[in-house]
Amino acid sequence: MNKDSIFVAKLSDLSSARGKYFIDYQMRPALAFRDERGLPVLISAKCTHLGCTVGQDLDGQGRILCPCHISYFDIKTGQPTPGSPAKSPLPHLGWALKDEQGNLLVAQDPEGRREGAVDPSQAEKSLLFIVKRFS
Amino acid sequence: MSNRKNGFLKIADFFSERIPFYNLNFEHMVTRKEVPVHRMSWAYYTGGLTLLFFLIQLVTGVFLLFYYQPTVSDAHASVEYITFFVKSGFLVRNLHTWSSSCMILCLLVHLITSFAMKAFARPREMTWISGSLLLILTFAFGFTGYLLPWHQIAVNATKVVLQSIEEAGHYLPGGLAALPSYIKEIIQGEVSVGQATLSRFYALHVVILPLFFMGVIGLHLLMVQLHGMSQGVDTPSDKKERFFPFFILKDLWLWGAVFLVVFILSLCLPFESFYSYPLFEAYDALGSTPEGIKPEWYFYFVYYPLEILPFWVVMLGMTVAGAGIFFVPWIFKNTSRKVLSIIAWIMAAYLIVITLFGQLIYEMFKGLK
Repeated sequence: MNKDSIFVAKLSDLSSARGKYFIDYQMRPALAFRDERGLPVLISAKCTHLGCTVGQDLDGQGRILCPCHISYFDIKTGQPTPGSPAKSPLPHLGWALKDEQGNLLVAQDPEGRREGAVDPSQAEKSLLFIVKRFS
Repeated sequence: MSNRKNGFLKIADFFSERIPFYNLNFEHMVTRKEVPVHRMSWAYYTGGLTLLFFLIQLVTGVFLLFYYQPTVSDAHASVEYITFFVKSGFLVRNLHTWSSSCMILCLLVHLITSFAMKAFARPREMTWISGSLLLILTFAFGFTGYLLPWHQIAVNATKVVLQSIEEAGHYLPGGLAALPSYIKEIIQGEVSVGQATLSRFYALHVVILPLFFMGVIGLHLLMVQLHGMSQGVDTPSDKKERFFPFFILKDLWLWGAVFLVVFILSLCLPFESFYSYPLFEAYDALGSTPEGIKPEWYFYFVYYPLEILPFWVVMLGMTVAGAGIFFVPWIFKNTSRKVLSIIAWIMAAYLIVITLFGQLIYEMFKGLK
């Protein structure tokens, strides 16, 4: 897992209100946020309706907007708001946090299963990666 | 044996009537050719105008080729270079964009008037079919050319259209369901709209489509000249005009006047001034799709229905219409010109209303939901 990963951002650079765009292993756009516990939330930014790239700003209800045909997605669940043209949820991406020496601290697969733990002081300095394969 | 002989003769008769090569002589095609004079005579100029705009596209397109770079890193910059630094580059580019829209407009008018005048009737089926092919090729020109400047609206609108193709797979049964996805991949050339897509669209826009187009337009014009002008109305008057030199001079006069108008428009008003600027910034792979992404106006007739109606309804309608256009000479074989005119008016009204008021209608529907 250590070998096959791509750097996304320093965890401390992420925000809970404005996502950071990056490109995933399938060359699709994705967004990285930080949740209220300080952990990363990685979600696909390719709208499930017709493939536009969704916006990076969260509204007051924790949703991101696809400006093409006005679909709102809840970033926690990925689900579109009822009535949106998009019908299926934006998938979450798995991630890994490593320390500055490259040692794995904690990893989470796309289904939300987590391995390892990180304390807040470590987290501030940790680096966020996406991982090609979770075994 | 005699039956088979009759069969072959019938096929030979069929083709000699549709492709009357015995008319392939200067006298029939030029000196003795006549153009009927009646209330719809103006429609005989619409095809020529479409040709004029195609010729403008050909010439300005070649000029643009001298400077355009078909790579994702340089495409946008090269278009900006053409616009701001190449002498008269802005004029050539504006002529190309204005003329593309004018060509489609003329083509649509030509299609609708030819339909209303029953110009497709026997023995002119080949003229109609080649014309329908030219229509589809022209839309393909529009779609492929739209991507080349590689700005936000170009790339994102292309993404939406290509994704729509894949979407059609959900409505197809069994093994066919994967077909649209393959088609999309073939057109796109890679997992996302990128260099492979740009290279494909470039090759299509500047080599493949023009070659096809010139072949088909050659056939179309040959058919028009071999058959002569269709009468166009039910009770033709005896009044006729000599094709050469009178009609052709009027045609050229009109070409001159129309070119002057398009030239002045291109000089004063960039076509892109109808959109807000951020859409024309270089495409940003790491950014949201900007608001206001729309296809070019000539795709509104399919874009707005897609926004309002269920996807499968529009796709089915467009597939039927797209295939049906080639069978018009047989579907409307026994339809009177009066009925054809009514259908033509309905088509024209639909195109005008959806193109001018599509956004308004869409907002109305959105508000009702």
